[in-house]
Amino acid sequence: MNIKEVLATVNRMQADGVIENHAIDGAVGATFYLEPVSTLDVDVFVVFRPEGGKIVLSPQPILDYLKARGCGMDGEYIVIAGWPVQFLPPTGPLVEEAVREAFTKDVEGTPARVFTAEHLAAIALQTGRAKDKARLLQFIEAGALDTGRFQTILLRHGLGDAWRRFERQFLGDAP
Amino acid sequence: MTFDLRAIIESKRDFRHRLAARPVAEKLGMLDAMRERALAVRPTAKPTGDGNPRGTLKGCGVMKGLMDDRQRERER
Repeated sequence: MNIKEVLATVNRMQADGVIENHAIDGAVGATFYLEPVSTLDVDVFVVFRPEGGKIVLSPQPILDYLKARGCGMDGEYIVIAGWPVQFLPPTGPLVEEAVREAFTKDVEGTPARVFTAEHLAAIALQTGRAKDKARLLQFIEAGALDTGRFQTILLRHGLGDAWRRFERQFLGDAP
Repeated sequence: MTFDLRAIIESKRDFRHRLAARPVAEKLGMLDAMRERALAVRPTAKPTGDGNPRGTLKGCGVMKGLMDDRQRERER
């Protein structure tokens, strides 16, 4: 089990032209900024190269590429170096922006393209599940967010009300 | 070691900050180890992405507040 190999494989896949861009989201992405939290999968948002006449996105090129390199399937996941990996198209303007503005960070010589902390936090607020709110709280308690940049992202993507609800619910009694 | 709750909370917070500040390669290695351990403990678990098999925290008092929150979201 080697998550660095997952990063290297996705980089190679982009270099070989299967995808145009990608970035790591979820708990693995958050690990670049916070204390590591146990997770069982890797979420990777991918942007495909535009092909003339094609409207429907298909993960088939990704599956074909990775299967040809020995990766297997586990339900909706493709398993790379022991890790179930979920490849996802951007789910809206916020994620599209997050992929465009992702950082490339070095992991012992392996580049890793990961969402910024502010985008991870904004996406967590937008997704809104219990575990996403827990992750957003982690970002806040760790002081890992550039507050101004975070607020700008929230306003740009219509998340101001969601943030105010979150503040009232979770930060009202913060010491 | 102390039974001072405020000091304990501060100590935990400090430990999390120091853990967050470790090199990213080391933290990713911890993810590898934690996943192996999670699979070893619950070998039939489907990957939910949160380190816990579905349903194991149902009814747990600690999670009740967050589950109530989810119910309120559905009703909205």
